[in-house]
Formats: sequence, structure tokens, C-alpha cells
Amino acid sequence: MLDQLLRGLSFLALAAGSFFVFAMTVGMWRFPDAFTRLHAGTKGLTIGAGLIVLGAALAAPSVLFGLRIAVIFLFLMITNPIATQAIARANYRIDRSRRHLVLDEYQELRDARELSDSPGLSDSPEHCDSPEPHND
Amino acid sequence: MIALVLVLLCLCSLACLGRVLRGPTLLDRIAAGDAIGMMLVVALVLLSLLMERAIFLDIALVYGLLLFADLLVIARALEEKVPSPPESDRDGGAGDGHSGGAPLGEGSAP
Repeated sequence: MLDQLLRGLSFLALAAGSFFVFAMTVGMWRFPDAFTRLHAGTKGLTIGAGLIVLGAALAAPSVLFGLRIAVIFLFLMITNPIATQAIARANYRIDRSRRHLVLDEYQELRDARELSDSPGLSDSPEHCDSPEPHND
Repeated sequence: MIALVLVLLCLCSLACLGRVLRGPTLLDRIAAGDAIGMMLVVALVLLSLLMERAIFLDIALVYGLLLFADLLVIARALEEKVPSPPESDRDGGAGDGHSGGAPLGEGSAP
């Protein structure tokens, strides 16, 4: 009885997780901007990969195996948002020409408060491949 | 079921590889590379279930740790200035006032 319940829950978690991973892939292709694609990737994978790993932990052959898989689940949940925030902040700072962004609320906030540019901006565009991307 | 999810993860990794190759800006490639790495971590976990060997979990954990550390290093390295040649400016380094860390490529002259 418990075995059947665990296998049913594992099936549900795997199915939901694979839906989110598929949605993340579609979003990676269809979103108009680099920051929105980063957002799609991290949101889709923090939920999708987390659910898949949870489903794998429920389908594990022993309890110890499931606990080791749960460690990987915790690790994914903790590190994925931190890395995404670091990458997004770094890329926002070095990207000098922000005209290609679809929506820039932080710039509007800075204009409202009349703040100068953050000191992390660099003047040389050598970090970006092409600051003005063509529409694809 | 687990094999189906594994096939789906591999196909989605290939699709994100397309975004890595195509993405116009650097952030596209970083985002897609991060997504591919995370999906491969989950694929390793599922592989450990299929083959019923616990060593793949250790490999997945180490790979995830390396991915996380790599992303933080890339974010840190993006914020520093491009270093000048060694004979012109010795103490020009981090662009945003970081006191620690040598500039990138200090030993290799362009």
C-alpha cells in the first residue's frame, strides 16, 4: 500500500517536473530578451529539476538512497537562485547600452531618484559580444 | 517512466545548446549553459536510479558544486575591468573598487 502510494507520488512529481522543464525550453527559445531568458531558465529549472529530483527520491530503492537524492534537491534549491542573481547583476552592470532591453524598471527607479550610474559599469564594450542584438 | 524523463532532459539540453550557439549576447549563452548544466545534474541523478549505483549521486553533487562556483566566478570576472598591459599601469585593476583579487590575465600580455 505504501509502496503503491510512493510510486504514484513519484510518477506525479516526475510528470510535473518534466512539464516545467519543457516549458523552460520553450521559454528559452521564445522570450524576446536576454534577461527574460535567464529568468525563464532559472524559474523553470528550480521548480522542474526540483520536482524531478523529488520524484526520483520517492522512487529510490532504499531510504538512504532517497536521503542522498534529497541532499541534491536541497543543493539545487539553494544554489540556483544565488547564481542567477549574481549573473544577472553582473550583466546588468556591464551592459552599457540598455536600449535593447524590453523593460527596465531599475533604470526608471534610478531616474526617479536621480542616482548616478553604479560604479561597477565599465566603459569598454569588450565584455559583451554584441550590445545591440539583432531581432531573431 | 524514468527513461522517458531522461530522454526529455537530453532533448531539452540539445534545444538549450541551440540557444548557446545562437544567442546574440553573452547573457544568453550563460543562461543557456547554466540550464544545460542543471539538466545534466538531474540526468545524472536519474541515471543513478536506472543503474542502481550510488556513485552517480556523488558525481552529480560535485558537478553541481563546480557549476555553482563557476557561475559565481564568471559573475565576478565580468565586473572587473579589462586589464591594461603590465608596463603602463601596475595598480589599475578592479573597476568597481574590489580590493582583493588580481586582474584577469595579468601574467599573459596581449
